[in-house]
Parts: sequence; C-alpha cells; structure tokens
Amino acid sequence: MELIWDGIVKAIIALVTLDPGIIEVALLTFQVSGAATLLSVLIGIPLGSVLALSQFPGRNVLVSIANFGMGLPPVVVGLWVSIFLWRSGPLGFLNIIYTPYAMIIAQAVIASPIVISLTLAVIQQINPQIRLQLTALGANRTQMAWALVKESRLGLLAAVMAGFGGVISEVGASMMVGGNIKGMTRIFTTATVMEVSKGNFDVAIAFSILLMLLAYVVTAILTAIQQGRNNR
Amino acid sequence: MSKVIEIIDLTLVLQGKTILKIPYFSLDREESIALTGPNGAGKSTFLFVMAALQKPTAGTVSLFGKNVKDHSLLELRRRMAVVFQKPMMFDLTVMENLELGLKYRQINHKEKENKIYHWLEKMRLAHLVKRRARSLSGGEAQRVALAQALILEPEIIFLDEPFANLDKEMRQELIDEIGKTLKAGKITTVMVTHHRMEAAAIADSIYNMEDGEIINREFCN
Ligand SMILES: Nc1ncnc2c1ncn2[C@@H]1O[C@H](COP(=O)(O)OP(=O)(O)OP(=O)(O)O)[C@@H](O)[C@H]1O
Ligand SMILES: [Mg+2]
Repeated sequence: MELIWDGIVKAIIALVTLDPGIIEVALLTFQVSGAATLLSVLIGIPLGSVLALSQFPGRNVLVSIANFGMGLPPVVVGLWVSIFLWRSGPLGFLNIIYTPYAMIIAQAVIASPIVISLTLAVIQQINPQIRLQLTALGANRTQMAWALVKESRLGLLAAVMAGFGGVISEVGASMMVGGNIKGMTRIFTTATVMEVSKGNFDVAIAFSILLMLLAYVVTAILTAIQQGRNNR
Repeated sequence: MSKVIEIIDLTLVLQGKTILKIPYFSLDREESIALTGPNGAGKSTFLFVMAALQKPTAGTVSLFGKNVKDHSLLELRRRMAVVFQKPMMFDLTVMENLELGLKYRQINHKEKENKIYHWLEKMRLAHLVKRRARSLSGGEAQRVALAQALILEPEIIFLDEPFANLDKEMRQELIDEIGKTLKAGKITTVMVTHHRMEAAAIADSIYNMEDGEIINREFCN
C-alpha cells in the first residue's frame, strides 16, 4: 500500500515540478504514439474504405489478414521491424534503428490493421440506401468515399482511438526497435518495465500513472471532438 | 421528338425471381408519366433501372440515345435526379445536404448559394437551413429530398411517391409548385404514385404495372 502511495506522490511531484526528465519521456511518448497513430490513419482509413467499397478477387483474404493483424503481438512486430531496420537488413541504409523513427514505424505497423479493420466495419455497415443516394446524386468514387467517411466520422474516431490505445500501451516493439535509450528512445512503457526490473516500484507506479493520464487526456480530446460534432 | 429513355427486351431477375419484364418502353423529352400499381409491382425497381442505378439481367437501356452499357454512367447520372421512396438524410445540416449534388457537379460557390436559397424558399424550408437533417420530421425530410433533386436542374427526374409523407395542405401546395416547376423547366418526369389526383396533376399519361409488367397505359387530359 505504501508503495502505491509513494508512486502517486512521485507522479504528482513530477507533474507539479515539471520534472524535465519525466517531461522529456512524456513528450516522446506522445510524439511517437501520435505520429504512429497519424500514419496508421493515413494508411488505414483509405485502405479500409477501399476494402469496404470494392469487390475484387482476394478481397476476403485481405480483410481476414487485416482482422488478424489487429491481434499482432507487439513483440513479433518489434522483431520483424528490427530485422528490416538492422544495419545489414533490407532497410538498414535508413540508419534509424534505435531512434524514435523506428519506434514510430513499429507502432504504425501495430495500429494500421486496427484502423483498417474498424474503418472497414464502420463503412460497410452504413445503410446501403446512403450509397445508392450518393450514386444518384452523381458522386464519383472519390466523392463517394469522402462522403461515407464523413457520414461515419463517429465510428472512425473510435477507430482512431483504438489505434492510439493500441500503440500507447505497447512495450515489446518499442523496446526492441528503440532500445529504451535515456533521452533518446525512452517512453513511459519502456521506462516502466526498466524501473520494475531494477526494483524501483514506486517510480514504476509513478510512470504508469502518468502514462494513463496522458492516454486519458488524448482520448478525452478525441472523444470531445467525436461527441461535440454529434450534438450540434 | 427525341427519346430520352428507351428500353428494349428488359428483364431483371433478382435472387431467382423475375422482378421486371418489359418488352418495350420509351419516353420522349419533356414527357411526364406516372407509374401506378400495387405494392411489389416493381415500380421502384423499374425507376432504378431507368435511372441507371440497377443493371438489368438482359435487354438494353438507352438514356439520351446512349446505351448505358457502353457509356459513362457517371455522366448520364449527372443529367438526372432521383427522389427515393424512403429518402435518407445525410448526417449533415440541411444546407450541406442540399449542397452535395451541386458540389459533385463543380458548381461555383455563388451560384450554389443562390440555388440553395431559391429552393429552400420554394420548398418552405428556409427556417431549417442550419438544422441537422437527421432531426427533421418525415414531411420536412421529404421536402429536403425534393429540393435536393430539383436543385440539380436535371433533364430527367425520377420521383418515387414524393408526396407520401406530406399533410393534405402541404401536399396540394407542393404538387402545384412542383408541377409548375417541372413544366417550366421542361423536365422529363417519371413519378411513382398511388394517387390518381397526383398523377393527373403532373403526368401526361399513367402506366399501370403489375407483377413486373406494364399492363396498360391511360392518357390524362
Ligand atoms: N434486391 C432484391 N432482391 C430480391 N427481390 C427484390 C429486390 N429488390 C426488390 N425486390 C422485389 O421486387 C419486387 C418489386 O419491388 P419494388 O420495390 O420495385 O415494388 P414497388 O412497386 O415499388 O412496391 P411499393 O408500392 O411497395 O413501393 C418486390 O416483390 C420486392 O420484394
Ligand atoms: Mg416502391
């Protein structure tokens, strides 16, 4: 009990005093997961819409791959992204292993299937009458897709939140491709794991509280956008 | 007069059931017709086929003298407009709902606004511009759907029971208004209705359908 209390106090002190070390970790956590989510949205919403709106051979296979991808173990992603980014690997020339860029890539790989699958589901369940009406109004393919994305913005924002939730909480991939280097690739989850392994449970608890706080604030902002739009 | 719709040997089979069987049908430019018939006769489906929204199983459909099979459907559709039997409002404001078709046709902003306000006025919708369209009553939504189609100044308009949700007074008012608009705009019209009075007010002739076939045609005077 005392440990938890110590952790809470440490978290509050870090927040109030704006502890530069912790602010740095918070900022990087936000930047990496934010960029990865953005990337996965840029990939996932168009791909998910295309999958939802078109019929072609092999479509169902792609859909099942995307659905399976939602459950990709982060450690597996971390391993494969490392292999590719490794100095001798196919993308080794990029020279980004153990940098935040590598973490963004790994996290985007984790989040993209989530965004693709949920986008697909959200767009597919739009009333077919809506699509018929857009066709009759003279929408071309792009105009149709855009109108449907707007129509399903509630569900799509949920997809974005799910994607963000998936990456801000993962540790395996970021650890493997980032390396948890202080001041460089250390984020809340990797820092928490490290502190636990060192036996600093109070610090770990403080990190975990700050991580949840960060995740909550971002999600609350997205929720406000989602619900605000709806209540007008 | 030139034929804007011509259908030859049309059959439509959906899920093993023959829904439409039309050996020949044509519509001249500026002609107005009504389709009547019992529930399930195939009126709405016939409308979809004519509006290039439903592919026939066999037969030819020509619009504006062009076989829809080898012509850009998008281009043909942009010369027509449809008011559906169960119009859906998009989860946008009334204004934005009316804007959609105009946006797709790249109408410039100023002209777009003028048209929208003109039709809001005509359809007695001016007080609802900023409302979320999903919160409209059935009759209000019906009027938005009518405005959404008429605003496009189509060459052919398809109306599927467009006055069904309106009270008696509003119905009479809009039938007169829309009848005049269609005549003045020289818009070729196909309207599904169960009411002879509506049919007579708008159509030159009435086609009766039953079991997917046209069984007779009456002329109105
Ligand atoms: N996609 C479909 N698959 C199978 N049957 C269909 C499909 N669409 C319509 N039908 C059937 O085709 C027939 C004609 O339907 P349609 O909607 O054209 O009738 P309608 O004349 O407009 O009737 P109402 O007056 O009730 O609107 C009906 O029996 C309907 O169940
Ligand atoms: Mg019908």
